[in-house]
Amino acid sequence: MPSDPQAYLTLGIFFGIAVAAALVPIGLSHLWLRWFTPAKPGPSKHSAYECGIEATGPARIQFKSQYYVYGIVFLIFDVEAIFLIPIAVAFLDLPLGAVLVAAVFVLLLLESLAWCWAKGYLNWK
Amino acid sequence: MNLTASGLLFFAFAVLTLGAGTAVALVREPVRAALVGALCFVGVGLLYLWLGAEFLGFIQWLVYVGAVAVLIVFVILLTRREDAGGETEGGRFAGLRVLGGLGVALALFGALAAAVLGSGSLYREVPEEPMVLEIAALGRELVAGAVPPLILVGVVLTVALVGGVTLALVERKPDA
Amino acid sequence: MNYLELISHVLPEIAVLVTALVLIGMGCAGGSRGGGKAVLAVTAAGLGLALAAVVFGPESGRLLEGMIVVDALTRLFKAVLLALTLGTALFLFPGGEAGGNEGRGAENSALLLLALLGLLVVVGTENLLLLFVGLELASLALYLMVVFAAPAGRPAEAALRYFFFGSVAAAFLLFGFSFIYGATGSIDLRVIAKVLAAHPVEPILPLGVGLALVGFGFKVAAVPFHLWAPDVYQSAPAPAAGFIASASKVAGFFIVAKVLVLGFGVVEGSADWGAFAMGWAPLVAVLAALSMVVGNLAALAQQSVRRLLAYSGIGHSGFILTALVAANAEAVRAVLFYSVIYGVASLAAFGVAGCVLRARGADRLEDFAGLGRTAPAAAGVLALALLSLAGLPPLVGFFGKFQLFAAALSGGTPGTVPGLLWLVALALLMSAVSLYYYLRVLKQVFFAPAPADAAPTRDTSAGTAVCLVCGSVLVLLGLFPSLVLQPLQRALVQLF
Repeated sequence: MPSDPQAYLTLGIFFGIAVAAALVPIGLSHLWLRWFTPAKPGPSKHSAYECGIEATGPARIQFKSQYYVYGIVFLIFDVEAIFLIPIAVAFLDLPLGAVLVAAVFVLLLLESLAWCWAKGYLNWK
Repeated sequence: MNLTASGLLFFAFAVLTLGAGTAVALVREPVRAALVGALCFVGVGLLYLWLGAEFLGFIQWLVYVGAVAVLIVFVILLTRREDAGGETEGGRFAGLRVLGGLGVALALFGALAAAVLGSGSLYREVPEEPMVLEIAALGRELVAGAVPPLILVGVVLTVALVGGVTLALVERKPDA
Repeated sequence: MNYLELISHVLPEIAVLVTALVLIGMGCAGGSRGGGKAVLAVTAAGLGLALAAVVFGPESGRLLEGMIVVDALTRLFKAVLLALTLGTALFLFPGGEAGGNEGRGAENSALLLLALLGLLVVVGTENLLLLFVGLELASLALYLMVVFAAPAGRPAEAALRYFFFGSVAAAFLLFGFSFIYGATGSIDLRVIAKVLAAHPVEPILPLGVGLALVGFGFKVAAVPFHLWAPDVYQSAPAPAAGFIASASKVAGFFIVAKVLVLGFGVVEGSADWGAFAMGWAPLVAVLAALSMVVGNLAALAQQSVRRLLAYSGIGHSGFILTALVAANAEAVRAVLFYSVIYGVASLAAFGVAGCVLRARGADRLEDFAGLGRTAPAAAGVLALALLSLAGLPPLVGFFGKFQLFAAALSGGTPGTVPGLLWLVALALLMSAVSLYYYLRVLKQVFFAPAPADAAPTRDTSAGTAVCLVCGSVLVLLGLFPSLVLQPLQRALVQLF
């Protein structure tokens, strides 16, 4: 068990409230639908509302692969954050050499970001 | 917290993790499989928290749920439907493949179970005070005793970024 | 913890890393079009600096729980890896860049150096954590080298297969290491060996070692973890394939031997006939036997020379693992010596296969027809490499194989039938089989007439020079094996 289960109780309550805030309105509208609104399917009922236009083509389209590049860059820096958080927590006690090590670690990643940038891979096309 | 409540929590988390993990393999729609996979990662994170490995638990959520699962969903969205090829099931050796996979999995599980049961660690005394990992201590260790792996991880991430980005843009290359 | 001391012990690695970063920077500048010469110059300069750092650096040291180990053995193998990489780098720039990697020459070179960095770290460590990270770095860079050369088609498929197998193998390796850590409480090989010698073996330890063997088996392409090798060797650009078959394999055998003998010598068990005892030796013996049989028999049926070399490489993994089963100082010496000469011969063979591929567009056996007349130097080097792989005297392959088998037979009580005789008999049989398919290639090279429309094989002087150097190394070491054996022997005395 975690060292302080009470801390998680608060978190759990918050999480419960967040989930409830999302689910309760949906549930209520479903209940409303069931009790007060009879289902009347028909062509006019299913048509786009008012000034909307009819949908054409499949909903699944191919996304630009550019999204993926941003996804990779995000993932890489997310992983880097794992290593930086503990270093940041201990930062004030660190000797100079240790800070330089952390700087080298960050600079390594910065170089690859600069490479991406200079190659124009981050430009949206 | 008495033992039973703690044990119940463990089983709830374990069922969540294992159930979601099984569902990943069984669900046919890739997007759903990815989302259930994210749920599985959440369960693993909960188990880490239950064990008192708080840093690891939150990292699990941050990286796996927050980034890896999103990246998997991206991959599915980026894959053209016709590329995916409907014929994933079947084939001549479908039954044989399933049997082979099950065989390997069962053998591995059997070996693991036998080793763990035989090691007697189940019956060891659980320490009264849980071992708490201080994050600052981890940070000090990272930049002192673990410098070579830390820098090397930085290099691995560099290679991953350079390679991943180049491969992702390989199709665009000719007209760029 | 002294940072300056640490830096002084990893200067070769730092030189390689900085060179790779400079190359990535050159890639940004976009100067690789027509700047191939500059890229090559930077690469060679970096490798030269690293070699100098190995030669003139500290002679021994052990830092951070065995993470950084410098002794005669690691220095020798770092030098070997650097030399093999220099050869690969010279192959990477054949006159006109091979199809598809225009504009990525700098990145390609950088990846080569980063793969080398991973291997250097692997060779220079006795710590399971750093070992794993180093292997991952090398693997990741190699996956990319396989796929970078051509954007579509078979290389991509081969790279994907390599990647999937590699990821699963890495997972097994890490899983195994975690059990080893759980059973012994350490990731330092020397501490592990001490713990194992002092305490009864926990049941989870064999499991950990077995799972780690899966990962190592992948790294050295031993059956049944070999499925990636033929596709990768055939589809990857020849220099990448040459690197995977030479430097990567040398490092793989080095670390397998070191981990098993140094860390787990206590739980070796026995694969002797009629005296099986559980441990890693029977498992390695099974891997060796399967690799020899499958590799050599499958090589008989190949039409593509690079695929043939891949299967022959699998067979050679079997030969090398055969000696490892004996697990004494003599066996380790034989394993390390043979892995080095195998690396040199492979590099030469892939170099020639690469230039035939460029000249004739394919590497089927027929495409080698008449090479002896159109390109006598390349044909001669190919003959030296293949005959050395086959183990014919006076080439060094004969001596290396003799040592392997002698080491395998040396274990056990003197005066009785050696316990590993069954494995060595199998190895001798498979050696004879291997001679057949090597000669099949050479028959095409020297006795088949060249096709009338054959384009002349022309190669850069650098590539030819590397091939010639490899060939002369094979002859020279065959005549004077002590040139490598003596330093190796001295280095191993420190280890045991």
